[in-house]
Amino acid sequence: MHNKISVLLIDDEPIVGNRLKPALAKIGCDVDVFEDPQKALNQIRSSEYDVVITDIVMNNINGIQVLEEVRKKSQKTRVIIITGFATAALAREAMEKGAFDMIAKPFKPSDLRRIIANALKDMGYQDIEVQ
Amino acid sequence: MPIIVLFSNLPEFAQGVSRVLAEKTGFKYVSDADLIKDAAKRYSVAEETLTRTVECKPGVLQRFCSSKDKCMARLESVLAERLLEDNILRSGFIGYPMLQKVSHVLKVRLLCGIKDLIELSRLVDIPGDQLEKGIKRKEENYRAWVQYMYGLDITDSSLYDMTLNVGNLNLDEAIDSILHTVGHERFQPMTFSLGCVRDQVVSSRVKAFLVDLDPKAEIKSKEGMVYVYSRGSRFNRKDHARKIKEELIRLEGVKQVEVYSQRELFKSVSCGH
Repeated sequence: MHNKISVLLIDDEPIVGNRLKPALAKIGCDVDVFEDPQKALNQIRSSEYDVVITDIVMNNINGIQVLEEVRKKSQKTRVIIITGFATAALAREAMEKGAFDMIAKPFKPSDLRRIIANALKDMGYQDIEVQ
Repeated sequence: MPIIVLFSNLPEFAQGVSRVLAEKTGFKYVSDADLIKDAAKRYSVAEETLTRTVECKPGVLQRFCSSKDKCMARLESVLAERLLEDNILRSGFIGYPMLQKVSHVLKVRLLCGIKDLIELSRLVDIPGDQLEKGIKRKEENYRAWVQYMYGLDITDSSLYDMTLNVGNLNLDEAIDSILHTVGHERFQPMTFSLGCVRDQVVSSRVKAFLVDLDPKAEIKSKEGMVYVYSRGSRFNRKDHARKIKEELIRLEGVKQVEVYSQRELFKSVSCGH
């Protein structure tokens, strides 16, 4: 696995970050977790991440706005949408705006690890292994 | 890869264009005849019975109401499995509600005038002197069939992602437009949309199995968790639910089953997943 894959995770429910951070650390991801999307956007503007994982429905700022901000900042960063309100229309909008993938909640950490591995392969990283 | 589905007022027209598109692109065209063959084999039903459901006018179908439900459930079940394959091309409304839920399905309506249809009359089996009347009658029957089966008006533009007037374009231009559109990011498969197809496979398999027991049963599934709304009779609801659970758990892809006799409860529980 490539060393220190930088991941920024935004979800306003603390349980999501608490659960996913250790699950992603297992495969070498260095995960910054944000519950406040505004603070996450400030961080995105000042740093570049390999992967941004964002919820859609949050207070004040939604995941599509996060996606748009990431696209403005970097074409390299892969954005993964996680949402409990997945629909075909949302999936199309997210893909059109440059999301790498979208998964409906609830999901298993291994599902997200697989998507991250695909994203890293897409970015040219070799020898990606997830379980 | 995305899935392309073509629609037209006359099913034979969309079928004919689909065959040309398949030849030019390498997409695999799954025709109604293919679904009928698959369903007949899988569920040991006569092909004629399934063909009658697909081709008959609603007035005739109403007389075979339960047979109609069974046939459609079986056709939709084999269609869902075909959607798991790559590069699939379909035409027509069979299974439309499940296609609507999948973001990587591009739905294209082809429009053409009666003159174009007459020029393309090799696609339909109508004697030359009755062509105009015959085509109009076929269009009316098809419109009524879609309305009867799915409650949809085929002229409703919101059912489609794009509409092409083939009368104003030549066929090659129409095909180029379809291929250009299907290449857009919004029609590419992703984890969520592929999961939707897998869930549809399980839901439609369960429906095809349950339709003998309860043609009005409603099913929703997510990753092998299957929710069923089936009332049973007032006096045997517990036995009815137990029997359904025992039978369904044996089906491929089914990991757990919950049966609800109250529709509101079924809706609220299944929509939360």
